Amino acid sequence: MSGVDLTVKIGRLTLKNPVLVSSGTFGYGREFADFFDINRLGGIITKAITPQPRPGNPPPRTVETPAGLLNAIGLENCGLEAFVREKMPYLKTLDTAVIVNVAGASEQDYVDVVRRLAEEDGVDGFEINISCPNVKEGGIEFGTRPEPAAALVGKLRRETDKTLIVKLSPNVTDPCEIAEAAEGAGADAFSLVNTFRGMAINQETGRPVLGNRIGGLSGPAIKPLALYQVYRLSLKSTKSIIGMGGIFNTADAMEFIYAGADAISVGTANLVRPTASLEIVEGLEAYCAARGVGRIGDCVGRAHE
Amino acid sequence: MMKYFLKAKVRENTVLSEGWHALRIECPEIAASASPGQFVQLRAWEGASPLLARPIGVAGVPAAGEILLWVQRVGDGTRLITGLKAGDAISVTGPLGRGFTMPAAGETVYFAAGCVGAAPLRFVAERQQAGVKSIFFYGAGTQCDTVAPLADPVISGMEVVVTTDDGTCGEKGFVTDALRSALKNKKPDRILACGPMGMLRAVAALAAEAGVKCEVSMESHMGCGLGACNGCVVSVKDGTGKKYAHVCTDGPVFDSDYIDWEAF
Repeated sequence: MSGVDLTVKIGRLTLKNPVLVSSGTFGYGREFADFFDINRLGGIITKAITPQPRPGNPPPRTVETPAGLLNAIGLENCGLEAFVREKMPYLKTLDTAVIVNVAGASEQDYVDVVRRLAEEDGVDGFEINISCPNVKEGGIEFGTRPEPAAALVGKLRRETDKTLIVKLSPNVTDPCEIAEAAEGAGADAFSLVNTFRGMAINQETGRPVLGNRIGGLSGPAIKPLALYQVYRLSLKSTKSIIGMGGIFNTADAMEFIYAGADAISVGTANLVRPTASLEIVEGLEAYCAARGVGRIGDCVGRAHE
Repeated sequence: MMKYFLKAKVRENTVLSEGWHALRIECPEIAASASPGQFVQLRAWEGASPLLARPIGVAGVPAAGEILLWVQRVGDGTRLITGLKAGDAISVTGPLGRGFTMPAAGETVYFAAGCVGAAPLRFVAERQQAGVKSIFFYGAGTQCDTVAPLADPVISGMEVVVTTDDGTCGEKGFVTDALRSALKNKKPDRILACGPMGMLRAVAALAAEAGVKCEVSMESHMGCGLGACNGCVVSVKDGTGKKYAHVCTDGPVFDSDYIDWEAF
């Protein structure tokens, strides 16, 4: 071993390394277990869970764009009870942090999911999705104004002592305002960014390509935009930050860490190279070792200097 | 079944006709476990453009340790893949998805193939046991797209009926015209189809009318190919109220009466 300390703290959680995988790009973990030992990751953020199953949006749900991917999946998921019954037994066997992404149409939806999973062994924290751009009732109403965000986070804080991470939308005037309100209500950490709203139009028909008409853009195309949002929030907030948005390799991950992210999350790259997240775990260690960095946490926010 | 993500090597890249290539790729793990109808995700480039890997149906296992792929050049991804030379590296993820039901001995099977959709059906034929009676119905736009399948030893070893839209090879018309006539003469035990969506819908309708079991291999834009991103769905008719199925893991091969053709 190189002796580099890769552990990081996210809220009340200590991760073995700063590499997470983003909600909706890694299924429930098992989908990638053929390719590498997923316990090597700092943690897994699951596909969004809602109280009831959701079929998702009509196809087409994805469009490739230059260095990017537009998606409008529509929070397709098996619902809370099936998640506990069918997905949790596997997740409980993992020796890495399991963070459940929670979505809903009402405060009660979020409360139902968090309350049910708060006592489950094997759930280490929650990522509160108040930023899905693809579903009218997908929680975005809680993510675009400070007051509803604070009210929701306050309710969830009363349900659990586990780490509460609020996933922020970049599709607002100032994500920092939402973060400040959520922080005041008890959020432990922030993850940003969710996808940027976008669309694509079919040349033959003149109509939107996506079944949902609009979608969210991810991938390398958004990296500089995401990096700026992480940098900006980290100047203002003392809470932990999970940086994400177009991270494809170790260099991208380090940019986010230097910008102020305590941990990073790999999203679209998982679809392109199933081992992308593992490559970054190994890459960060090698990067630090080569530069004599003993503790990756020492790199966080260097861009502020 | 175990899936692999491998840095593989191109053994051979042959131009079969304009824009239609046969690639033989060395990847022993995938060659050993792939079954007809399954696909692989290919990426022949580094960097972010194009972003996603390209899903391509396996056309066969022509020799130990290698898979055969028929790739038609249609966009940037397939242009890069068809531009590879022997010895070049290519990332291959697979084998992925659920394949065709293999015809049993004594059965009669009609293959219905549209253009490069012949590839996964070729793999069925390659693996097919003795005693299966099969007819390969093949449709394409024009003569040059018939060169590859007609020259192929596996396909040309069967009874083949060719149609072209412009009549430059075989009968003038669609593959479904030829299939319709054949179904009037003799009903097979099953139809296995792969091709463009419009063709598959027409084949499904013919099969339903004739009361013949039919499996179709569906196409979709694909994200991960692993069932993780939920990006590649098709509308289905399901007694349980399920609206969509995942092409990458529930398919790509589906019973034709499971697909909600009205939704397309």
